[in-house]
Amino acid sequence: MNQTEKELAKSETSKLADKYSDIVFDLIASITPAAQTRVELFQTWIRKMTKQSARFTKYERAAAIKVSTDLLLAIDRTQINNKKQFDPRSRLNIDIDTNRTRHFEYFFNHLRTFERLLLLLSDKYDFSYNEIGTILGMPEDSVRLNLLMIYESLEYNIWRPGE
Amino acid sequence: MNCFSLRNTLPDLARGGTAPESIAHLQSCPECIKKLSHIKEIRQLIKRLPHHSVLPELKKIALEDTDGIDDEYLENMKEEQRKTRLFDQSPWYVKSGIEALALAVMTIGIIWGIPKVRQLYDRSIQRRLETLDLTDLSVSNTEDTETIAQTTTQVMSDEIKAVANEVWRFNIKTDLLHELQTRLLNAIKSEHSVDNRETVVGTIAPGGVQIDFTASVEFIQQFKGEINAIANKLEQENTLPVSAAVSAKTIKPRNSGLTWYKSKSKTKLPKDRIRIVIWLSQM
Repeated sequence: MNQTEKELAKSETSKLADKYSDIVFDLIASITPAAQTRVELFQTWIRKMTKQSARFTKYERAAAIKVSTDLLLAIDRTQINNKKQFDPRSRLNIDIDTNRTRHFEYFFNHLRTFERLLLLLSDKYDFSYNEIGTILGMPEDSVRLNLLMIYESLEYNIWRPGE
Repeated sequence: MNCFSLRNTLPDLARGGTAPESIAHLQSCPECIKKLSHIKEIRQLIKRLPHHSVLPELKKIALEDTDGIDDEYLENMKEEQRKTRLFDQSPWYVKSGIEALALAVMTIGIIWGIPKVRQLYDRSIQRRLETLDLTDLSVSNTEDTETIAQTTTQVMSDEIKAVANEVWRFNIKTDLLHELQTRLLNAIKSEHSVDNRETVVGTIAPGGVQIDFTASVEFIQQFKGEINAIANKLEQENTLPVSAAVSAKTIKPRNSGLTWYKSKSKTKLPKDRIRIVIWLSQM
């Protein structure tokens, strides 16, 4: 790659970063609590975008976000602690009558990375099922079914049956 | 539509879907309305999650950091894209066809190739056997292979040189074992180049006597001649007592049968030394 091509790749990345850096950083920050990890992930995202900029001819937004979700999922696979879900003992320590938002945040943060990504993409950014499927690598029906399962799980934990 | 069927459409309804059948069911089912309202509330809670904006400085630093990307890596990426693009863009039946064809060609290749390779190997072996010159085997190898037994006439040849760290073995078949032993020991002890020549003795073993000693490399040249002379002389002398003993009968004198060979010593010998082993076997 000569200097011109490198400059071209860099300018393309710069354009993509202008378009999607906010949403990507928000996605990373919503999943990753540590500030240092957020910065590192964002930098890695930019670097990967520069390397793969030639591919972004179609489904540009999905492709750009897929790079970041792949990074987040890769980190999730390496962190075994993230697999700990909904410990019944911790559930008892929460006062059910307290603020619903805090209650929701607690359970949301205990979801797996994949589930949180699905909820964020679907509900926070209002992506279509098709686009979510492209980002997470699954068909539309699977996206719908996974969403339903996560909703039901959250509903069960936030609103106890019969409440 | 029942509650179970509606359940699958709840995410769509929460996103603002307006399927008439679902709406009709919701009007008559308070449980499903409650469930839908919960999901809508979850959506609202997710929307209300804090938004994190990226700092412009971070974006700038991250973009500048891409200067250090590896050129070769990028080249490989592009090359890989070029290679995979055509295949990836092909429809599934073309891909499957190509894969099946490749598999078939590989299988046929293996089935056809193995006998051919074997045939070629057999031919090469046959060719080597045809061109093999048996006379080459008679050439003495001074390094690590044993030579074929030599005749007494070759002992006299000066072409065969001794090299340090070799073992020269002489085998003499004789009737007069002790006489030959005494003569050989006298000859050996008179030589200065033999190590510890006073202590060299013949070891009596079943079937004969073995004389084992070390000497300098130069010693073997003259010793070859001496041992041959002793053997021949003994052969000539041997005819008289045998013929006298048998008196009138004519007996063909036996051949002393001197044979020899040399090989590389398995044990390390002192510098410029060779080991000589003479085996006198009783006929």
